[in-house]
Amino acid sequence: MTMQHWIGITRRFVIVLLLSLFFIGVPGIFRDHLLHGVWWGQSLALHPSTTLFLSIVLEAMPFIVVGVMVSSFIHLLVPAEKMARLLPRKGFGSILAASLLGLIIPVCDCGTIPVARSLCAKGVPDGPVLTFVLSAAVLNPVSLWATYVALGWHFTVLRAVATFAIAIICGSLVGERSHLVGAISALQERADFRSQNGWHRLTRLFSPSGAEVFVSHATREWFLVSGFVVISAIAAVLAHQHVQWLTVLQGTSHGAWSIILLMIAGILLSLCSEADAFVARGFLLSFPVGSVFSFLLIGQLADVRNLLLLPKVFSRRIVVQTVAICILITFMLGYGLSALYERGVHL
Amino acid sequence: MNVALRKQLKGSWLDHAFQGVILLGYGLYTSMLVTTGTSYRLLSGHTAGMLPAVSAAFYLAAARALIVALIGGQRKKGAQKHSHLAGNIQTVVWYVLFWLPLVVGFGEGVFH
Repeated sequence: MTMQHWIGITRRFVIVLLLSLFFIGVPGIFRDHLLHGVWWGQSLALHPSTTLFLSIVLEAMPFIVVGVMVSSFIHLLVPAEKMARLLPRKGFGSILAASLLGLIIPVCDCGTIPVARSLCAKGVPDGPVLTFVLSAAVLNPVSLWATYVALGWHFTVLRAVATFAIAIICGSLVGERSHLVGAISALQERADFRSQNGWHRLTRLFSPSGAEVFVSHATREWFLVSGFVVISAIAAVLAHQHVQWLTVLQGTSHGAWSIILLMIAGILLSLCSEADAFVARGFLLSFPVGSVFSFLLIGQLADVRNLLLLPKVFSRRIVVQTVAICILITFMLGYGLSALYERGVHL
Repeated sequence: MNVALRKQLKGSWLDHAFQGVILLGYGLYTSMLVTTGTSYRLLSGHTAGMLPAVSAAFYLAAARALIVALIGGQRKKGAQKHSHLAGNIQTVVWYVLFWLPLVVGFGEGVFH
């Protein structure tokens, strides 16, 4: 190693130390001044909003970690082409199978699009692929477990059934057309894994280089997903603080405005399916059940991330049709649930 | 291992430094929640039970990111340094977002 290398490493070390001081030292040492001091005329100490913020982030965190680990494991171990072979190609059976594929391939909504592109590339028709994209994020073990922990089994079953139904409806309407938009894309997974058998892939995953790629992929996914959770937790806290204003905004007896408001929030926040239930629990403090249910549904069906990624796989017409159906059905279900609650039917 | 994926995963050393420090912070925080027994007071049983493993995962990922930050990562060319200023600012803002839970967490979660 030359002198220049040592200078470079020392420079990096100093920057890492400074970053540590900011990210760990400041919260650890100056916590009293930051939280218990008076800011803009009020003390933040033990403020309900900070507790709510912390509970949303902390409750979601373990599930995000498990989710990104499972997702990375599947991403690296199972080639997308293998998944394509699992699906039947024709008839309603293919749509049904696609809707349940998430149960054996637990990818969150961040991971569905790469899989969908590979399914298209293998000649699977648009209908089943669309069904998979819409259902896999919710109908997978990690997401269902997180919803159960956050909101209980009633919500979990309702969410699963509604997502399943919407995915089947959208997939059936698209049918067996095949646009093969995604087929032109080069698949990341192709390069090495295709020529290897399962055992070889597994041993390579546990080799130092494989493990390094696994941790690196999981880390990248964690930063992507957790950032949105922090933003959403802030949004939930703000919504909770301004609940009186929002109650006025609701206007109608069944809270139609609150459903629309939370649907917009669900679309804009683009939460991961492993974390959104914990944010939804925060919203339950301020909004009717139907609105929160709509938030949970639309957030996985037609959020901003999906709106940006879906055209990479499907034609514009299919995307517009699907989004319109998802928004319509979600609103109707949320409205119906709110109406049931008002008549005394509770989950 | 997949070459394209490897390239995609390799960020600049500063990226890894940010990630390593943040992950270390979350590792420290979650392990403090476990050792002080606060996790079962703050969180539901399921989540609290998972926390030791989550903490270990944070430490592992932090160690990898910090090693890469100190002795690996991609060096930026002189020409690229200034052309992506907006992107760099966006990245820094994104990472600073992760500071909020640490401030609130260390202040409220462990010591009160």
